[in-house]
Amino acid sequence: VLYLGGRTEIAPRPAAVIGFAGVATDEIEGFFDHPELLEHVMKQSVGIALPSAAIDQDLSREILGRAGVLSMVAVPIAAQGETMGVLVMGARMVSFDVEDWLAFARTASLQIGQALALAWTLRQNHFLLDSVGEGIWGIDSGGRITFVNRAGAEMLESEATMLIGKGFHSLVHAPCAEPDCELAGRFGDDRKVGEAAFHLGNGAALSVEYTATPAHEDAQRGTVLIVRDTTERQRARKLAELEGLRRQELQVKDEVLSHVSHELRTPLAAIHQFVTILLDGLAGPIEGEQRQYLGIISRNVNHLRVMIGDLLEATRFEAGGVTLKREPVAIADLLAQACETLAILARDKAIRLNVSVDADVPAVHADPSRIAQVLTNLIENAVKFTPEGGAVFVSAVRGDATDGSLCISVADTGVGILPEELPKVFDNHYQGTNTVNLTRKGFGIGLHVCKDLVERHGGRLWVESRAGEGCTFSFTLPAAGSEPR
Amino acid sequence: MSQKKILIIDDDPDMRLGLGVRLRAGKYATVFAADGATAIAAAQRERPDVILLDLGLPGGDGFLVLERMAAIPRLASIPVIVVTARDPAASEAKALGLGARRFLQKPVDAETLLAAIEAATEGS
Repeated sequence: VLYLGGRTEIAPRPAAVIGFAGVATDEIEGFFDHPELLEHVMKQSVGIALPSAAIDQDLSREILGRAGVLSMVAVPIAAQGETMGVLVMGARMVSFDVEDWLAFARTASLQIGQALALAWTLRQNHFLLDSVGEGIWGIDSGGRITFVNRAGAEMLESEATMLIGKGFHSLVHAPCAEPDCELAGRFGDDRKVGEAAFHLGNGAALSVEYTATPAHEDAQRGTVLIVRDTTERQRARKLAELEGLRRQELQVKDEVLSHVSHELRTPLAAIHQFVTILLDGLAGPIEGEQRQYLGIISRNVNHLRVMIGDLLEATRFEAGGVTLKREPVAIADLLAQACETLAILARDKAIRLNVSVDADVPAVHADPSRIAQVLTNLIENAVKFTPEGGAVFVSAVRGDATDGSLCISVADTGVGILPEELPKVFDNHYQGTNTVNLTRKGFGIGLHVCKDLVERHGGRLWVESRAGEGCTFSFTLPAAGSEPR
Repeated sequence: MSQKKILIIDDDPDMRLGLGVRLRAGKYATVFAADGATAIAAAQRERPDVILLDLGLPGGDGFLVLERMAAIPRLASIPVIVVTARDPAASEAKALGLGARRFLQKPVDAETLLAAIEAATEGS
């Protein structure tokens, strides 16, 4: 019976029952499971025979009695310099020359030890080869696969057992008919390093780097091929290149727009300056129609000013150069400020701005200036698209009960948006061309930016509308403490 | 209370005229400079209470004017409000770092401008 174990302990169950003349194997199970005996042999690393003067007579009799034998030998099994197990043999007779028997057992244990050591080495080598990320192939002189590790098999989306004996070239170059193909198996007598592309039968393609090293053993000639899959790296490099180009492009765009916006602002500032001087009566009294027309110029100058600002803002969003500075935010204050800013615009069109904030709105952790931007944008749009004398309703309520979020809605009483047009309103540069009776265009950049801002906060922005009944833009913000870190 | 004096440094004559009209209507006295080179001399001669400074100027830009003024003890304490068409993302931090009190981007609303001047002259 063979007991195997680790460095200090032997498994109490036998690892193998080698044979027992005239006795059923299951009868032996447990017969020699005598921890003291196993431990003694293990620790001392010596063979013992029973009965023996070296072992206490009572113990000796007890062990033999339990095993149902009259004599026995137990020898340690050493593999790789360590005792790894115990070989136990028993006999139902006492006529053996115990020393001879012990010598036989030692020889047997030596052979078992060597076999174990070999098995462990093989297993270790396999483990090592399967642990490396590179594919490792053994290829014989005929181009057939004699060995492949796990990574190699995975590259071919197969398993090692399925690949052994197959032709390497036809597997990695599915459609290749090139007689001089570098992967066609004739790697020659020199070490060779190269780059290649694998084309698998299923259409997949890999970029690889390989090293082919000639391997000779006895009359066998072959090649060890080590292959590194560089597909990811190539893809990452391409992506990085594209990203670099995109950044460069955005940088140029930013510079150009920055310059253009400066150039536009200078004359605009002069127009703005003198229109307001005239409107404020600093150059003499103005009246009636004059005031009305100057008011129109002034509003359009302001509109231009906002558009110039949006141009740069939109590019910077695209470049991702926005970081949120979150802090506890009282939404009622932000709403009040936004409405105050837009009061003049609303008053000019005789539009009522109704604001209601529920008492139980949750606290939010947000970037106040960014949320103010979203609010201003949405309310400004609502005012813009509501006809004179209409109303805009702004409300802040606790969102649906499950997530305890904050939900803010801005509803106008304008012309609304046709259903097929709704999904497009958040597109960059959407112009709202199909909105009926549009007197003012241009809410594209703003909404695109708003949606991005809300999503950066972990919220959602959407629009509902029925043509002719106005539309409602709503967004949520996660309650403080629930936003993703 | 004596009338406060504002030095307007801007190379655009339209801007100088417009700002002048607006500020005089706000009961301020106005003096002008049209370039960076004469701006410092004007500041030393006129001893204004507040300076409105454009950034894009011939003969030494607004940043240079800010640097020079900071180095002259008599001028270092005069509050400077930058009024420029330039992008704040590129210029505001630099201007404030060189000692400007405020950064206003053109076009500037009259209320904003007058409030900034008032805040700058407070306590002086």
